Amino acid sequence: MIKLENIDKVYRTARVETLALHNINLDVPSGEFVSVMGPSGCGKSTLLNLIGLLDRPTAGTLAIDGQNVETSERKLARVRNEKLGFVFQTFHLVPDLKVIDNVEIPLLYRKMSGAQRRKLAAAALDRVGLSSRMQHFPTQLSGGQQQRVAIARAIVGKPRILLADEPTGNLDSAMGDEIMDILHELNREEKTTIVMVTHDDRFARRTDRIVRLFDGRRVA
Amino acid sequence: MIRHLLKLIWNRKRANALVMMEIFFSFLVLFAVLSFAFSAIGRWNDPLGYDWHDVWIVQLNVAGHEPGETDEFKPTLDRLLRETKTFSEIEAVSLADTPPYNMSTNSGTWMIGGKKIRITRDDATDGYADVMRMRVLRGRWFSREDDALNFVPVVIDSDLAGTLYAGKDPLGQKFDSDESTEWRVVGVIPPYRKDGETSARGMNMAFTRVSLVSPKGRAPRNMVIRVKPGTGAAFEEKLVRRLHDVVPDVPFTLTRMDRLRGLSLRLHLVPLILSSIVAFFLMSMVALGLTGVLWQSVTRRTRELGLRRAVGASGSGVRNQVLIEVALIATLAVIVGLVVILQLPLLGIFSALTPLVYTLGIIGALAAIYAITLVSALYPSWLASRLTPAEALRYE
Ligand SMILES: Nc1ncnc2c1ncn2[C@@H]1O[C@H](COP(=O)(O)OP(=O)(O)OP(=O)(O)O)[C@@H](O)[C@H]1O
Ligand SMILES: [Mg+2]
Repeated sequence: MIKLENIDKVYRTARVETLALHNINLDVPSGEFVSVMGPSGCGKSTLLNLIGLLDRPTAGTLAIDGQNVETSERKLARVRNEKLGFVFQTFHLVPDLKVIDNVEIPLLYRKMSGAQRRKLAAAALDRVGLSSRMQHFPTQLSGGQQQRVAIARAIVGKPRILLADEPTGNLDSAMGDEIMDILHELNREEKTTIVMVTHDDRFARRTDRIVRLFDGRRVA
Repeated sequence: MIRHLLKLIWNRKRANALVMMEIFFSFLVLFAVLSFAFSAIGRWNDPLGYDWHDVWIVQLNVAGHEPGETDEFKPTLDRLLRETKTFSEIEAVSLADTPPYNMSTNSGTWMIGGKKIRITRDDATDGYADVMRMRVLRGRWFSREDDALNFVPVVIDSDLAGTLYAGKDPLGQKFDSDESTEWRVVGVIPPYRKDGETSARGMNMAFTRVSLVSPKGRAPRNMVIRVKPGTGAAFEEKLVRRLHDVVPDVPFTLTRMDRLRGLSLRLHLVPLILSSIVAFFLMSMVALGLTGVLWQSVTRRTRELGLRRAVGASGSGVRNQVLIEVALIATLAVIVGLVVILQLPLLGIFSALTPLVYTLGIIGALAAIYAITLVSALYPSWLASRLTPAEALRYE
C-alpha cells in the first residue's frame, strides 16, 4: 500500500542543512496499522509528511497504492484527496466554520452535489460519535471532540490510508483512549491502512507493528 | 464552493467588515476622482462656441463709467473701430468687455423660480459675432438697426435659454427690466465657454448689445479684432501706430488671443494638475491600504490554506479560492457603494456630471476596485500557495 525506497530528506535553510531522513525503506501492506516512534526531532513528522504528499523527498522513490507518486502538483492534490486522510496533533480545524462544514472540506474538491456532501459529512460525524455537535463551532468543543471532528474530516472521503501525527499528543489519556478506539475500529472495519506517529508506548503496543527512527535513520 | 465561501465570509464578518469598509470607501473615492477627471477631459473637447484663432485684443486704459451714465468715450471708440476696419488685413472688429480667456469674468447669481442660477454676462457690439465666428442657432445677432428698438437686445446661449425659458420659445422673451429699460432676447447661440477648454459646463452666457450711437450706457474698453490668417508683427506695428495717432493720450496694449489662451489655460490647469496629483496619491494610498489589509488577512490564513491543500486542493486551487473570496467581499462592498452612488443624482449632488460621465465614473471605479483588490490578494495568496502544504501547516 505504501512503499518507500531509499528516501532522503534534506531541509535547506539559508545557514544550515538538516538531514532529516536518511535512506529510509518502508513497506506498509494494505490494512496494516503501523506506529512510528522515536525521540523528538528524529524525523517522524517528516516521514509522515512525505507519505502524505505534503512535502517532497530529496531522493528516493515513494509509491502509494502501487503507483509511483506523480510530480505534478495537480495530480498530487488528487491523490491526497482520494487516497489519503490526515490527522494532526493540533487538529487544524477552521475556527470560522461549523463542525459539519469543516468535515465537508475534502469533498469540496470533488465533483459532488451539496446534498451528497452533507450526507457523507453527517455519516462521518456519526461514525466518531459527534452527530449532536454538527452545528457547533470548533472552539465550543473539548480537545478530544475536536480531534474526533478532525478524524471525521480525514475519513469523510473514504481514503484507503489514514496518516496520524501524534493524534493523542494534545489530549489527556482518557480522550487519547477514545481516539485510539476509533482508529482501531476504522482499521478493523474499513480495512483502512493507518500510519500513526506516537510517543506513547501503550498506544504503540496495540498496533500491528512499530517502526523506530533514530536521528533520521530507521532502527527497527 | 461559492456557498461554502459565503459561509466563511459570513462567519468572519468582523474581520471582513474592515476589508469591506476599506473597499467601500476606496470605491467612493475612486468614483469621485474618476468622474471629475472624466468630466474635465470630456469638457476639454466640447465645442467652445467661438474661434480664438487670429483674434487680437486691444485693451484701452481709459477710466470706465458707471452703467447708466453717459459714456463720453463712445465717439472715440466708434472712430477707432472705423479706422481699424479700413485695413485690408482686418476682417472684423468689435468691442467686448470680457472676451474669452480674459482674466475677468462678469457673472452673478439670479433667483429664478426659487432656483439659484449662475449667469455669465458680457457687453458686446454688433461686430462681435463676426469677430469670434459665433454661430447663431435661432434669431439673430445684434445689428445697427437695433438702435431703433425700444428695448435692449440680448443674445443668450442655449444653456441659459433652457434654464430660463424651458419649453418656451426664448425669442422675444423679456430678459430683464428696470424703470427705464427693458432687455429682450433676440437670438440664441450654442453654449459659449467663456474660459475656453477648462470652462465649467453651463456657463449660462448672455450678451447685451452695446450701442455706440446712444450716449447712454457704458461701452467696453476692449477692441476685439479678427485679422486675416498669417497676419504678423509688421502689421501689428502698423496698427499700433495708427491707433496711437487716433488716441495719442490713451495708453493701450495689444495682445493676441492665442497668447491669452496659453496664459489662461496654464492658470486653470494648475488646480487641475494639483488635484490630479492629490487624486493620484489618494488612489495610491487606497491601493496600499487595501493591499495591506488583504495581505494581512490572507497571510493569517496560511495554515488554513495548507490544510485545504492537505485534504485535496491544489496550489492554484487555494489561490483561486482566495481570489474568489476577495472578489465576493469586494462585490458586497461595491454593492453598498453603488447604492450610495445611485442616491447622488436623487440628492442633486454631483448634478454637474452628465449621465455619460457618471456611468464612466462608475465603470472606471468598478474596474479599478476589482483590479486593486485582485492584485492585492494575488501576491500574498501566491506566496501562500508557493509553500509546500507541510510548510503552510507549520506557518506561524
Ligand atoms: N521545515 C523545516 N526546515 C528545517 N528543518 C526542519 C524542518 N522541519 C523539520 N526540520 C528538522 O528536521 C528534523 C526532523 O524534524 P521532525 O519534525 O520530523 O521531527 P519529529 O520526529 O516529528 O519530532 P517531534 O517528536 O518533536 O515532533 C529536526 O531536526 C527538525 O529540526
Ligand atoms: Mg513531529
